Amino acid sequence: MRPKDRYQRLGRSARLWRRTNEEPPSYWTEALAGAQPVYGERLVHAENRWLRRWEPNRSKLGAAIAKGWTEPLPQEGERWLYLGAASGTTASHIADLVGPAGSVYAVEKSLRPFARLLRLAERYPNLAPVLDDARRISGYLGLVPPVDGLYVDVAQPDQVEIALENARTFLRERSSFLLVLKTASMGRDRSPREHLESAIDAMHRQIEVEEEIALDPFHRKHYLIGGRPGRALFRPVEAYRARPPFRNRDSRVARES
Amino acid sequence: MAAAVLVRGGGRLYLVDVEEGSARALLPLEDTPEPDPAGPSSADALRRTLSRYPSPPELLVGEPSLGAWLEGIGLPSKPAPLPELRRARERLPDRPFALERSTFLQDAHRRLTEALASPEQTLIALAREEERLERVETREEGAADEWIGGATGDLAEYAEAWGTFRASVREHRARLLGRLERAAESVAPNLSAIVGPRVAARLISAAGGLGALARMSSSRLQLLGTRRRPGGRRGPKYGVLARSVVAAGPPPGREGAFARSLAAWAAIAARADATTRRSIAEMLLARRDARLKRLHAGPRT
Repeated sequence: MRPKDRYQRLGRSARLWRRTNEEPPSYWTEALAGAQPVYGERLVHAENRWLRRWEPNRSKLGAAIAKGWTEPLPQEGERWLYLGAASGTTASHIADLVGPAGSVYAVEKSLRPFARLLRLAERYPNLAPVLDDARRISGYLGLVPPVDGLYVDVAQPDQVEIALENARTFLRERSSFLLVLKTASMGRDRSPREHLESAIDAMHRQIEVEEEIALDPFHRKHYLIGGRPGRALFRPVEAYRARPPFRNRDSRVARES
Repeated sequence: MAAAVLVRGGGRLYLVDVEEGSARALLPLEDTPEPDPAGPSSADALRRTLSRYPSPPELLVGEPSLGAWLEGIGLPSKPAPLPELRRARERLPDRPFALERSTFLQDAHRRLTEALASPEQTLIALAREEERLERVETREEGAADEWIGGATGDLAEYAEAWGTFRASVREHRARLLGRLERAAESVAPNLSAIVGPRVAARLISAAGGLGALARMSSSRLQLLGTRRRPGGRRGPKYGVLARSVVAAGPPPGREGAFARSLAAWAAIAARADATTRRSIAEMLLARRDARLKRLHAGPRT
């Protein structure tokens, strides 16, 4: 007979679980909206609750957790802003983590993934979908209040600028910041490692980077960067107005550092 | 001079006094998901609030659209500096999330339906549906013919039913094609003329929109719908464009050369369709014919 599965809470999170009797261990979040899968993931009833398996191959944050990521993570009761939510795979897990007392504002601009996100939001009582472009903050500025955490997964050449601009507008001083860096979107003229370094340089003193991790082998050429707002983030905007010029996605022009 | 920030929050408009230490003068103006800037009630409520000040405060706005609205009703304003904006937003009352969420869902539904109903998105949906039906007809029908072919007895009856079904699928697809072609010709007339309406629709659908297609280089347009081959071997010559390359009939062995030119004209046509909407199809078709003639005439041109 198969031995009984054992689950253990992970880190500070009350709603994140690890199944310890397997190698490598799998990670699970407490399902907020009943025993129904969101993207075909497995569900188990254990410890008197329904747990949804967090697939590292489908979710970048899931991959980071599978590789040992601990902080920062969404905590229970927090309010998060999620940019680039697509159809809500990762967003549903973040909604699980913040629980019924927290909330997640999910921004997505492509119509078809958004239609699926909207269906998900209808049964997730703490998820608020926003159909807008993360570059155009004024579109949702009036809808989204200041938040405890920002998660950015937009896969655009200017993803770092988008993240900083939103961090400046929505984060508070003790908030968390998570950025998924897709280096393939930033040109193939540099190695992923170099892209990571230039991104961290670009955030200098605006985001105090606490951790970064490569998401290999689940998501190739991706990094997760975690941190908190630095002192320079909230200084007047004029100091940071200088933005890099618009670059065509096809161009091979190296960005000046 | 005192300053007040006009800002949207939780689906309402608020006027927040940033000079005062407290959250005085919070004013919910409208209770709609997107406050209607033209609404007279907002303007009246704002004027009433402003009249309570001893001297009119300097108005700062959180968003450009609010500035435009104020200008429309004759009030000068400036964009709010970030620190003021942050302070103002932190003073807004926290509305219960459940209440806010219904606003978000309504808003999202409305914006999604509007966006999906645009001619361009309709075209993309039609193109994807047509692609799916084409798959059904080519792959699945072929498989059925293989084993139903020489059917006798009970199976013959079934084969007949299958034939009826197939005919109705074909008819359905033909109707769909008609709609698709009309939609493509109205959204992208130049592109439809140079590569044909069906391919034009597929190009737009693969790019994710006419605007996205217009911003593409012709070399990228040429390869839309293909996958990059692994390894350093020679790449593909054309993807979605293949059908129009073959239809134009370039000499054998010169399809790649013709595809490059065709992609270039298609890129120009897409840009005209997305921006000026001028008709340049005739000029492009003339160039195409000239190019074909030259390709047929000599070994290398």
